[in-house]
Amino acid sequence: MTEPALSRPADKCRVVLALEEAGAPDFLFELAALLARAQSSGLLAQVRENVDLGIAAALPFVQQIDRRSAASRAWTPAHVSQARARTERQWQQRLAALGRANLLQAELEWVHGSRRDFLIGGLSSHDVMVFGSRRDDGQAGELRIAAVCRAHQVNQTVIAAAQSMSEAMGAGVQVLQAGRSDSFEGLPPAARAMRVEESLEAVMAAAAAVRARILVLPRTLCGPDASGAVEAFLARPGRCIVVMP
Amino acid sequence: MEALPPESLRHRCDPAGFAFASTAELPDPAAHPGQARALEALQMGMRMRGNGYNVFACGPTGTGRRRLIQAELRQEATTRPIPGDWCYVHNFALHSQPVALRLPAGRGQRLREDMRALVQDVQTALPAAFGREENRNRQEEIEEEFQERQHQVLSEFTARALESGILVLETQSGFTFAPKDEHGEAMQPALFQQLPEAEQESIKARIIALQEELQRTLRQFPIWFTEMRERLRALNREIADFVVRHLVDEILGRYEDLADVQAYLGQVATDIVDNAPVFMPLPPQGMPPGLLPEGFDKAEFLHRYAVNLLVDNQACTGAPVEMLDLPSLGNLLGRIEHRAQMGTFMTDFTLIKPGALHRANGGFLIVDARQILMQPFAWEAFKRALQGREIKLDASELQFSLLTTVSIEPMPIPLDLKVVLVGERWLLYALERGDPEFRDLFKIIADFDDVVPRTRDSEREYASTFAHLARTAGTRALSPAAVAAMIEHCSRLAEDAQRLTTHVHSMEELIREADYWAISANHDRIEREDIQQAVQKQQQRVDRIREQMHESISRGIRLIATDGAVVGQINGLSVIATDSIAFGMPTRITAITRFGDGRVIDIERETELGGPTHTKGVLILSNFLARRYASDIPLSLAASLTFEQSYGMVDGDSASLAELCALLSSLAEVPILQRYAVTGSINQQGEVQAIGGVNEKIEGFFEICRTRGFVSGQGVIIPATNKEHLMLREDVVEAAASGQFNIHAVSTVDEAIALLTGREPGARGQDGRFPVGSLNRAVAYKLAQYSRIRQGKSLQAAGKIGD
Repeated sequence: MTEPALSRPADKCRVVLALEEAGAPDFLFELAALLARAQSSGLLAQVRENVDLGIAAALPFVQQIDRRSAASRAWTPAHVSQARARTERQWQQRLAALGRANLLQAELEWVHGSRRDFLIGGLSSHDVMVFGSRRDDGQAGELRIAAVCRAHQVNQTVIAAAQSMSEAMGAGVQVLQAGRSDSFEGLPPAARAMRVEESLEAVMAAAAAVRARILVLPRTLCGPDASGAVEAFLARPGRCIVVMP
Repeated sequence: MEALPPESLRHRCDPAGFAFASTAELPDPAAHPGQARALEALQMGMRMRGNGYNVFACGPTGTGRRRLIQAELRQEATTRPIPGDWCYVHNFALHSQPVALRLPAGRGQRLREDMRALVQDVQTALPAAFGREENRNRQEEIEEEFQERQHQVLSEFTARALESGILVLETQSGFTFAPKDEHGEAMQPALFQQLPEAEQESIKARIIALQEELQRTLRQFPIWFTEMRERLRALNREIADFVVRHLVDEILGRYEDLADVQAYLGQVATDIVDNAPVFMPLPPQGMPPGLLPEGFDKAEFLHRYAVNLLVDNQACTGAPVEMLDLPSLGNLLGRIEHRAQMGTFMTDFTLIKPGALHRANGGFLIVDARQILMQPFAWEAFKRALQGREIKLDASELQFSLLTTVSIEPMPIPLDLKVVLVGERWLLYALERGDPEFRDLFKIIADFDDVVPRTRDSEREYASTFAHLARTAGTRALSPAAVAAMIEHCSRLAEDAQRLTTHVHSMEELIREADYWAISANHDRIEREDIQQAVQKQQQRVDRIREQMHESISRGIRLIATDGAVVGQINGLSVIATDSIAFGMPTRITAITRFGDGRVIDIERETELGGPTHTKGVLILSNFLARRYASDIPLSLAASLTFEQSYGMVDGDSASLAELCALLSSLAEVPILQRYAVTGSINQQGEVQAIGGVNEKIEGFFEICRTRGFVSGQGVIIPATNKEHLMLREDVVEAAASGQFNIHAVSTVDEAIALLTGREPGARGQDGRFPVGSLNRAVAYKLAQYSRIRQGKSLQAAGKIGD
């Protein structure tokens, strides 16, 4: 794993957007930028390079099956390089645009390792981590945010419903900034709260029950055994997890 | 022969016969005097049932026909039911053929408002319904089911692959595969190469099999996606249908009695449900993205639910009465307007504009005949509408357009109305002669008289008419003397002392102008002198041509003798008329006679300056000559007749008496007294017949004589049958009273020639001869002489006698 490029004071958090080489929905970038802007921090997008793709490309009989057309195409090291270059170019442009729009510094770096390394690994406890599914679900309807609050030792899951992506992200930022269950003024009327046990499984179950698509968790909930639940949540398209410091 | 007495020269109206101090005391006339026949025909046309009982109201312009017709129709209209409103609405089955809906008066506007409110309500209610949590949950369940199905299939596939030692890797655009090493990671190529060939082949076969399986699996996804869309669509339709039916049902209750409107509202409901995404801020999930194409204009789409209220009779109190000033095709039948869109002219039912036929439907329409015939396509289209009893908007004007257009063909609207076509008589005759369909469509002729008999009753009715005109024109009232002057002027306009003109516009103009002079003279009422001054000033304003022509006579440029006596020369009288003025002018007519073959040469005809009626007059006098003087001998006369110093067209036979007298003078070699001017036509028996413009002709010669200074015995000879047409100016009457100027009325040529020559014409005696010394004997003798010459020449030519 390489060192993050974005230098920072030790006591100031960053927003780290964990991206999979295979892809990431647009709203992840927007959400990360909103969070960074709300916290007046920098945004670092870390792309996890999947070395297995290169290995597979070295085998001459391996093909790539297109997700949309189901057509098979050649999969060679050259294809891998081209795909990575294309991805990097697109995301650099995306980050540059978001940086300009939100007056923040945004950088992109490629790293190696598994998603588990990101989640559990040695990042600063001050960082806000944003994980997302590899694909969008193509839906433009209502988003729901499940946020677990931990202020004053109150464990509560707040579900904020919103009609659009921007509204949902705005609500998500408010949830994160509020930090406690009794100060969610301004949330959409559908917002509601429920008490849950302080376990990741319980939180996940609550989020699944209301079909939440953005899950905001305290870092304390994301212990070494959390990666399975997280992966399961993110396996579905259009999902996102924000891990608070 | 005695001159006519001065009191017979102008039929005066006695103001003492009026029992009012001013016309302000008089009520409006109960009916327009003298138009009973036309009004009866009009009323019959209005009330007759059956196709084609429309009315052609004919008569001269300016007689107030339109005002009268309009008043009659309005009165009749109050007794008729108020016709319904007409709306055009979108045709959901065939967009190019908008549907016409008929509603009771006032309910068209209600329908328009209801539809406007419905569209607004749907735009609120549909998003609310789709946003309701239970509905959202139902949608999400369907979507998640689809996602879960995909996820499940891919998860199972990934698990099966893993069990067979193959990793499924996700790429930017799909999936690929790699063999798994003993640590569960992708096997390095070098390690793979070290594997036994059989194992390599096995891995290869497994990966290829998995690739094919994955392809088969992924090909299922679009099918599942379509299924999901269908389910979402059905759900959305169910939600939308519930909302829309509820809203439409509220409106339907108001139109239970109108089956067409109910059917339309049913179609509206179905269409809104079909197009529910249009009413959403964002299309509901599951709606096909192609339904709202890029650049889709929502406002434009919602246009289809508008109601084009073409005819709104809400404010009517009876049947409509429409008067169309400019009956162009569009103004008559309505038009389909277009708007430019992307370089093409587009239209829809909201751009259908009503015409007069729409507005008058169920009532009455008044159209100017001449105007409608002058407008391109209008007459034929108008007839088509009346024949077919429907208003069908077609794109006739587009046939001649170079523009690219997209047009529509609106559903025809049934037509039930009475048309009154207003025109002059010649138009009626032209239409009857030239258009075989005309009489089928206009079976009633309302013939408006241009004159009415002058009686004490009609004079009193006219007094009321003047009162009404003064009131509507906002002028002073008229004194009884002014009314009398007006009536005399109306007689003069009618060219008949026993008739009154019905030209209301002229009366109104004269009253307005007399009012102007009354103000100048500080009169409280319009007085007789104000009327006289108005008449005089009217003539003065248009008098330039008459003045110039009279001046040319006074200066001796145009030769007219008013004194002395000359053989074969006579003063004829003609009328020169323009649109604004008519005046009489004396014209010198000369005749030359000699031996010849019996032919009277009309120089005007020979030079193609004479009209057919004039030629007819000359032929009649030729025959009169032959019959009276040469019935038993060949007429061996060569004569020529001409209007001296006349360079324009001459027509009419009013100079035939003068021409005959000039001929007789020439033949008898008896001079004609030049102090007379003559007018009148003759027949083959030598009777003098009435002519037109007698007053102007007399006044024309009077002017010349007065300018030169009256000499004794000057005057005009007129046909006796014109006596009752005399409405001469006051100054002419005064001159007659003082004996300066005389009017003589004659019935025969003999009476005329006696006056003109001072010689007795003489009647044939028992022996068949005229008396010795009489003028007729001189004429007969001259013609007999010519005949003998002719007979002599014939014998000479035959060699029977020597030279």
